[in-house]
Amino acid sequence: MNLRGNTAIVGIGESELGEAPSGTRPQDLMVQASVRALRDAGLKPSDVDGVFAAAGQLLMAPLYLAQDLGMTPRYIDGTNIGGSSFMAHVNHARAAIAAGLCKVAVVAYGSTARLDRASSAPEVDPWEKPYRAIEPLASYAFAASRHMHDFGTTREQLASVAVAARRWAQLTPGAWDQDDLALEDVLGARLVSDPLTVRDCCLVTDGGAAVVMTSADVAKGLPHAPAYVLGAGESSAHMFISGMPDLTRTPAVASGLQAFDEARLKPSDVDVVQLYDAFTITPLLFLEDLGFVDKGQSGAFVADGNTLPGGSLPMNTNGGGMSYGHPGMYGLFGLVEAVRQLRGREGERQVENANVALAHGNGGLLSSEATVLLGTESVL
Amino acid sequence: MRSPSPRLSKQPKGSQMTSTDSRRSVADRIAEHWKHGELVYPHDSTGTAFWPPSDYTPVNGEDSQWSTSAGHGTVYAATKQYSRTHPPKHFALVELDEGFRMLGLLTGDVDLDDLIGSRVATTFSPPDEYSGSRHPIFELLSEDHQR
Repeated sequence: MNLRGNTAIVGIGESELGEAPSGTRPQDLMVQASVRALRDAGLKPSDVDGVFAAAGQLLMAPLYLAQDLGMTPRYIDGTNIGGSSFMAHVNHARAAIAAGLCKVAVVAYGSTARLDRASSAPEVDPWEKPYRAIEPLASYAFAASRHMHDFGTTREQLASVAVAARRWAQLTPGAWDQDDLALEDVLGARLVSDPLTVRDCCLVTDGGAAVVMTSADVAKGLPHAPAYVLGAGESSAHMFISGMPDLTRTPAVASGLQAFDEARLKPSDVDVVQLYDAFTITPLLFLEDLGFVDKGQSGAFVADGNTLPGGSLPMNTNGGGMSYGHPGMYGLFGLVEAVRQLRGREGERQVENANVALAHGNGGLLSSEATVLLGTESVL
Repeated sequence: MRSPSPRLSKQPKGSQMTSTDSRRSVADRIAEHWKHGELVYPHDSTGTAFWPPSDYTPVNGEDSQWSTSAGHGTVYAATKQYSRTHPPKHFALVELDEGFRMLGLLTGDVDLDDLIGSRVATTFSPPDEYSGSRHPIFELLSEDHQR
């Protein structure tokens, strides 16, 4: 079955972001975001029959959502593979919708990582536990060290990822950190896991997000122009970093190929990208693995300004996890921003003629990768 | 009296721990070897090593075979982690010569700038005061010993 374009994201929502009031629970933010996404779609909780949710602090996330919104789903998916879970949910939801197993799906997330100082690190491998390395920091620092060794990537190039993110955040209402940020600020910040400074690491904020999906036929009658799902892919090959075959080549190679093949698109067709940025090294790896630049070229590509506002490949156009917000599993915020760009009403940060958007999620220790290609009606 | 299920029976003393043994967990068997300063690792019937360890081989799903590494390897990736309360520590992913990769603590005269590609040997930590457990530590070899 060809799934290209037969489902769409028709509603998007975010909870209040940043720092939640004392006593807020992750499910409160997940529910708030979901209600906002449903209102955006012109739908009610009672219209939903497919619930897809994950949260680092909630083992059975979909059940909280169903309970609090009085939904009785006939399709439930609580896949949790870290920050890429929501791209995987979109992939699964479109299959479920196409197969007639549900009609209207909500994909949702909530976190109080900042309020509760909740760790976003996965469990520790028993054979790595005695060393007490700080994870996920160590694993991403390893990947950065190897990328620098193999391709001559520099700390300045890594830092340019954080600087570019900040430039976008300064154009984005509600972004958590909008202060000026220069290369020297990143390079001169406190080293936490060499070669990464604290400014090479994402924020820790509270927040929830949600998207509503339905079939292309239903989507046409709803208030917003649908963001059609053109292709999607997911992949994984390891859990712990010692099991990752090549630290400079992630499973995004496979997830990206699957998504692009299905969408019948190539990287040069993409107008705007949202690439998971938990650390400055992550979007560099994904620029390469998804085929936007050759292996080893991403550092120079970002440092040359290509991903900045007005650049050839606008990336993380809300400021991403580095500057907009990062509650531990960022993926769904990338999807929301991709849809916003396709709707075309984002003011100063709007990418002109954005018709194809890519949102890529990463989970664990470069362990799970999932890619979604979205497009407007013009590219169907 | 019913005979106990093999999974629940006690480990006979002096049994061969390097073989796959469903009566003792992988973690307990490896911990026992580490106590004796032995860096054991699993591999398949062709000798292809892997890590993290398991009683079953990746891809083919065979029963793992276990061998003891000589402990020599090469730094594949490295980081120096800073803490507000402790002195900085170097961590490395080390590619052991037998073909598997482990995360570990790195000691010796360490300079992060040219760690990748450096040769290391494996030592073991002193026994933990309470549990007696030990774990491998990678020691950077002096330049004379570098490949």
